[in-house]
Amino acid sequence: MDTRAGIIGNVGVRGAMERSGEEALIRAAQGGDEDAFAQLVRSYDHQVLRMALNLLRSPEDARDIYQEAFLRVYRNLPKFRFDCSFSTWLYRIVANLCLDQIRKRKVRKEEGSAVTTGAGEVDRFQYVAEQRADVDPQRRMMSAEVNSRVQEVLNRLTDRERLVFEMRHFQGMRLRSIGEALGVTEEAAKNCLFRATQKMRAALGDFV
Amino acid sequence: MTCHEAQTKLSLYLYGELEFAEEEAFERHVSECALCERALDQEKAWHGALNAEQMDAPLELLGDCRRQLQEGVRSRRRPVGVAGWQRWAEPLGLSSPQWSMRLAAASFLVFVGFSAGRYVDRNGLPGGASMGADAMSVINPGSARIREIDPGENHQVRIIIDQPRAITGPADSDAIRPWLVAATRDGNDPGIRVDSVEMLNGQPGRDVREALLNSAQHDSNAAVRLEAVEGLRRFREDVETQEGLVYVLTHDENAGVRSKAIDVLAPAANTARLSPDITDALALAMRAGQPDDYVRMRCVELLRQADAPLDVY
Repeated sequence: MDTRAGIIGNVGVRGAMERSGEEALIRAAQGGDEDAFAQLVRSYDHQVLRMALNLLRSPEDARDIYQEAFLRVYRNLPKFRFDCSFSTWLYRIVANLCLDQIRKRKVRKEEGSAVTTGAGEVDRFQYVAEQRADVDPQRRMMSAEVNSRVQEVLNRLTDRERLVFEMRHFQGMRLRSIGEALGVTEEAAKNCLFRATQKMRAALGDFV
Repeated sequence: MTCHEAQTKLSLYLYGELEFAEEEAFERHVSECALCERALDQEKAWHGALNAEQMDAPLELLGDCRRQLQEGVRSRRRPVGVAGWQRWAEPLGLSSPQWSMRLAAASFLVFVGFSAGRYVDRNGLPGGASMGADAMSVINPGSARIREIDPGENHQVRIIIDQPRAITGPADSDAIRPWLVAATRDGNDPGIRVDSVEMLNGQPGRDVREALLNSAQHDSNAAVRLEAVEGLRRFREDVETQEGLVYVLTHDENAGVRSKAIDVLAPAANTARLSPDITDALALAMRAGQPDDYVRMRCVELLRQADAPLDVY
């Protein structure tokens, strides 16, 4: 119990220090300090890229989202007035860009998930997942099966359900922050997540 | 709480999104209801299976994105004005695309420098100081680092200034690596710390491992800690590194850093058995209440692989 209290105490102090550190970085970047902007980018860019990659399942699209999101941040940073947290603002931009991209794909009826390799045409999601060095053959087979189910069910989610699920399940964001980033209430985000998890459970629950 | 109510809250419980009273009621119900307990286990299992399918952004892709963004930012900055060095180089022809012009201008600068050197050698610097105030005006006092101020007689003062020096070489060379290791402890600039940790990632050596361990556990900046944890991947099979990763897992307040720590630690369990100390520390972390469900899932997987007693988590 003492250990936990100690951890929580540390977390609070460090969290406050980081917030003030981030605010200083933002103010410096607003004043044209490009090193500060670079540091700000590096604090979030790995998560942003991972989110775009998981949502769009295409490294090229994820790269485009990354560029566009951070260039928008760069252009509009002087107008940022600390009305919300920087991360909320950033994720709002990223979420909107991802939603736009998903919608554009639907309009173009473009799957965008096929990639040509030495072994012929394979699913891009599968391809990237298999690049990971820690995947053994047995796990790879299981992984392919789970992956195919995951793909099926992800396609059955609405755009917003998919986004909320990604942000909560994979990015670990709190529902309140997700709501703020998407411009909806926490309750609406919770309902969205509930529907998404129901669909995931129906598809994966008996399989695992 | 009824079974129906409990089963609509399974995922929200795992995500830690239930109110305190709701969570209490949920846990009480599950501890008394075998059906709901099984449903919760199944829920945990599909969450875990899904986590294994998560794509992490490859570091090469991240590196490409960063480079591309830097170019994008630079191209947006350029129309505002000509870069500083171009402003003074332009009249001298140094920014000219013609090589003959550049060569002529460079030769002229060498000549000026050589003549000035000869003049100073013969006549000394004006004002009788070791370096006069006029000459010092080329150094911006705002950016110079003053090491010592030594007051003298007649209102004289001696100021000792640290002058910047550049060292160039391969990042993994013996000449450069100690500088990178030292830079990981630069207290003033997290940007320097991130860059140095990044350059050390993938390098062997005890000094590198110790620098990364220190940054992963103690750096005040989350981006530095994240890069350092990634750098520890190379050393994950030694016990000290595993202890460091467990410390990050239990103490770091940033969910991204904690997730990275468990991602780096987990494969080590496949190739080499974790020591009992590590499994005990993981079990302790689970008991202390790991706030992040992804990390909790991976910890459980890890403890299962290590054959830890099930009741600890």
